[in-house]
Amino acid sequence: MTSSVDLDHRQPPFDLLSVDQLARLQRSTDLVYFAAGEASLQEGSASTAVFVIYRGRFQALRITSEGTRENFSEYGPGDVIGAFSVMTGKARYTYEALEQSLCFAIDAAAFLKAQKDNPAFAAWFLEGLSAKRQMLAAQDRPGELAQAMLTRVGDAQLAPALFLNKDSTLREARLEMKRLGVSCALVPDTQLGPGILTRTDLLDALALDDRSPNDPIAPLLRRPLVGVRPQEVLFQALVSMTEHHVERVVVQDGAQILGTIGMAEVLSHYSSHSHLIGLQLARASRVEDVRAAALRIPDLVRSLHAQGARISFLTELVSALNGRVLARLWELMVPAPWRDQICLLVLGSEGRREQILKTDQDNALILPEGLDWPELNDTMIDFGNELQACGWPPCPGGVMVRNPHWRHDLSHWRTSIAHWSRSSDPQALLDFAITVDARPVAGHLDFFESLRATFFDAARNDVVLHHFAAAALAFHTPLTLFGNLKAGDQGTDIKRGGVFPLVHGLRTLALRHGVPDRNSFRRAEGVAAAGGMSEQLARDVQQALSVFLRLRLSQQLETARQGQTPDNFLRIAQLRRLDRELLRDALGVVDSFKSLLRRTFHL
Amino acid sequence: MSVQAWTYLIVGASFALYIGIALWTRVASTKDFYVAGGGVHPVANGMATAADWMSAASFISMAGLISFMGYDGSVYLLGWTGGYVLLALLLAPYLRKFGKFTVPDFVGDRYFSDTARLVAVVCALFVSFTYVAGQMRGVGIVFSRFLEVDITTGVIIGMAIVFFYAVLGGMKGITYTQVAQYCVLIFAYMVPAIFISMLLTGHVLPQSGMGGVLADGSGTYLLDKLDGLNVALGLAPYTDGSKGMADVFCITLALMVGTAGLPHVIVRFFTVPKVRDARKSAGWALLFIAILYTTAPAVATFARVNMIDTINGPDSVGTLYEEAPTWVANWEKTGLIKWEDKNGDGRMFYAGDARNEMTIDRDIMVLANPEIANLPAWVIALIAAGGLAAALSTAAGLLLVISSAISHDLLKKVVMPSISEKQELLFARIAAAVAIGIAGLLGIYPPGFVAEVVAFAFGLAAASFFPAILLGIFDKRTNAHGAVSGMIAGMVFTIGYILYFKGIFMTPMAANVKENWLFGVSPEGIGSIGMLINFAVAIVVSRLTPPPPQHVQDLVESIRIPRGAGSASHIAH
Repeated sequence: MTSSVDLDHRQPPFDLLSVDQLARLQRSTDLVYFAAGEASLQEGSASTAVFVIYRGRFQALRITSEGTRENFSEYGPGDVIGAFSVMTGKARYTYEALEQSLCFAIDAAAFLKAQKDNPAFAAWFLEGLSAKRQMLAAQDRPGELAQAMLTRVGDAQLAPALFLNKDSTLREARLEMKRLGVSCALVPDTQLGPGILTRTDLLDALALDDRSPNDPIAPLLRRPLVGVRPQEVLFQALVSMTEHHVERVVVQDGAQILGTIGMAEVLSHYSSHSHLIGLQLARASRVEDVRAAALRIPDLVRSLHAQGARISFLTELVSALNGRVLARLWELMVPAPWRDQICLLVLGSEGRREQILKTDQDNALILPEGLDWPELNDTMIDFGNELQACGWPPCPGGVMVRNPHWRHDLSHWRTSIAHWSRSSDPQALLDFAITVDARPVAGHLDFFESLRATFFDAARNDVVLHHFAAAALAFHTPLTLFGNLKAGDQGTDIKRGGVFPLVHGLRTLALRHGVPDRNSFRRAEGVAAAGGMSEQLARDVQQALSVFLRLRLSQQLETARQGQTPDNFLRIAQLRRLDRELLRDALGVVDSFKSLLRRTFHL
Repeated sequence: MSVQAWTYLIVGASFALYIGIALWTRVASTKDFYVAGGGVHPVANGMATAADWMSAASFISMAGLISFMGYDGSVYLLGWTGGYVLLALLLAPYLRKFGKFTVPDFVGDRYFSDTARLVAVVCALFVSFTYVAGQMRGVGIVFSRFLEVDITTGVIIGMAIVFFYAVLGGMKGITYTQVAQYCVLIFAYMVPAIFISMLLTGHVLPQSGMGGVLADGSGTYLLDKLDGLNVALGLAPYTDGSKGMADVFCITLALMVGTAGLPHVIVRFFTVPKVRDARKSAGWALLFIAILYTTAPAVATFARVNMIDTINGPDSVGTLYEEAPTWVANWEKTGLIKWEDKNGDGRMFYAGDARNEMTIDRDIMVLANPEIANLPAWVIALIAAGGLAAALSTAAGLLLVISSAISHDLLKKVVMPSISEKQELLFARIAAAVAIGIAGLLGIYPPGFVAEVVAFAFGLAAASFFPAILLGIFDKRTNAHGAVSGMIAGMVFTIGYILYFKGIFMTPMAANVKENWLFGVSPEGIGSIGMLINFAVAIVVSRLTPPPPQHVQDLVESIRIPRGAGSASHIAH
């Protein structure tokens, strides 16, 4: 089975293979011919080979139930098709030759073996798939820049919904669950709203609370239901479960309940471990257990990112997990009377829910007026040390609970915020900016609400905002006069050139328009809704930001894997062509956004 | 080198400097986050403010006016200097505390009314247009002389330059560019003044030279000589005033309070982050402005003495046209000097009565001054660069105000809220281009001399904004109805009065002489009466209509409490 032409060893991803690995792959490779109109692969089928186009063109398409053809992208020489099908056992599209074509056909088993032997080669396909899906998504939905669309909740295997009367007994409930093979039941109630009864609750009631099987189920019901909509992506279900500490959510389309979906079903679609981390956190009774769970988050990020998870989902999931780590540590480390009187805030990127890899521990406390607790300082030093052990490096600027300057009562906070907002020195502006993003995560959460009005009060002053916004324009967008990417010796600093101008600009616009959201993506929506920018620009800004975050994450994960400290520089030369183009477009968006800031804030 | 070669060289070099600074500022990205706000020293900011402040009217026109009006010209000195102080002390701190950048924004928010905002936008546009027109005339004069073309061509060239500079180049408010512009313009103004002062009186400082004794050994004071010349030529003595007291008072007042409404200068007070630094900047700016303003009367006096000497000759019988000094020949090409040989003796003669054969545009005095005094070519070229710096820095700031007022405040907020950012930017550029076009037209067919045009702009600002701002800060009872009707009444009255006597684009309806004026107040000073009308209407209408909402009243209370204006107690962190 030797072919007269060899796989091009210079062409990605085959350049990732060693000489031996390539030779092995080569031995299982055939050159095959397709006539025009002939399909190399049928949608939904498992492919026996991965095809690399040598000559000719292919078209990805779907044939609908009515028999009409929906065309997706075209592929040409060098493109790889069928890898997804080999890896998942199910082709997403039918691939049809548009003209006479020649392809290398790599035997599926050999391909999988090569992936197993060479993680970089495997990762290329995982990332490559996500990029390709992005391209397809962009074609599917014109105007929206590519973002990987994962499986929708509605497409997943749902457990049927079992409805019970609220007067049912525990015994009846259990029998019905058993009959349908489900682990929870839903109970409609016009007054209190629907409730849910899980098998665990039911068993706990019988075994631990001395309930009789003839007792009614009503007292055991949990409300309100945590729900997801069928058109939401599966990942959202995972985020909701993690956030609400539940293992099952209800799938509802408007008022209609379609069924329930549990952690297990979701996980059959992901090889991730976010539920395990969540479980581990819930069970953790010692600080050491929390730490163990927290230290697994980076691996989760790595694997989800490799699978092409949307960056905004990733940030939400990670921040939900981080929030739980912090809350759990707070409960374990701060003794009872004080625990509920003090409010723990996370600031900056963690507050915005945009910290994917832990960069530093920006946090602060709101203390009750006249707090008298001599151990406060020692406890907070311990708390900070534990956070460091959990992977949060100390904040170089000292914005940490262990620092007395970041522990104030409400009135002191108000004075500080008013002062920072009017001051011009960089430190005050930085303090103001990270505090604007503050989010309460543990303790007396309500404290924070009364503080938020202070920000918006300060922001009523255009002069204050003018000086605040100026920082967003301090850095040059790394594009040349002709719109090409500009890079220094270390690469392109994407934090200065892209992330910071967008994040800070959105923060300032959100303040100006009274948008309460903290997350940059939500802020963009909020500002657009308030008339602060056009819907189009808001969408562009969101997409640009996710391009920056995704590319930065890829490179940071890679840097970390090599044992170096991740930084904010993008090595342009290492980006794929598609990503380079995305990056260039995204930086173009930064320029438009900056010009909006100039006009809005008289800069 | 010829004057023209020097002009290309020096004007070219100064432009290269401004553009170089602008590019350098863009490229030099700060190292740290959040440092963009600070960093400009109060002295630098003072210079930038002075450059914003001193327009072609200050640089080119003011000395010319004084030169021809004598003592009466001092109203411009008093008005503009006083106006700056008024703005710095009475308005800027409160507007800053209120937190609004532009007068229309302040008016709109304070009176809680979009109608009030709209009226203020229209007034701001009107004032800015008039002011830009004055700059365009100044730029036109500079180009017409140094490119040796007539004034119309000069203005058209000026329009093109201003369009490229201000609209396409994005040279807006870059502090260090304006610092450079200030340096160029003050250098250009002072060098010839010092030269001439030393030639005429032996004093290095022009300010003392003006009051000094002539250096020709006659022992006569310079001003005495000028008074004598004026009287001999059938004019009032140079150091005596001819305007009525009411008129002088009104013009000065209109110039002073009108200043407050000039949108581009107010913004300068907000660009310094710290209130304390803003105050220091204002102080420095006053000093930098004073350097030019105190020199202007001296320049005016020197120029006049030299002009009469060179035209009428040492024995005051006139100079033969064939032997005319080069400056007369040069400026004749622009059409700004004309000689009509009434008595047919072939000699030029300048006088204040029937003997006069010369028509001299007052605006050329500062520019022609070094030529009249026979100074080296490079000094003459320097003046051109200075005049352009003064006109451009002001025009750029004003055009930005005009374009954003039209595209943002008017179109985006009121007329077409659905336009995208790109369309908004396009409209902003179109607005600036149209503004330059109209301003150019007004520059070619001026309703008066540059300084007079500018005086109208100030008068209009005085009659429209000033009462709305002042009442907005100090009288919490004034409401939207009062403010709007006051602004409209003041504006309509003032425009009507000016049109009645000056007839811009139409024939005046009455001779512009003292006998016809209301209370003896000239159109230049009528803004003050307009302002009083505005005050009266605003106060009366407000008292007759419901008071503003309580939160607005509370706001007004809090603006005047100095607490928290930025230098609040320092909090350690």
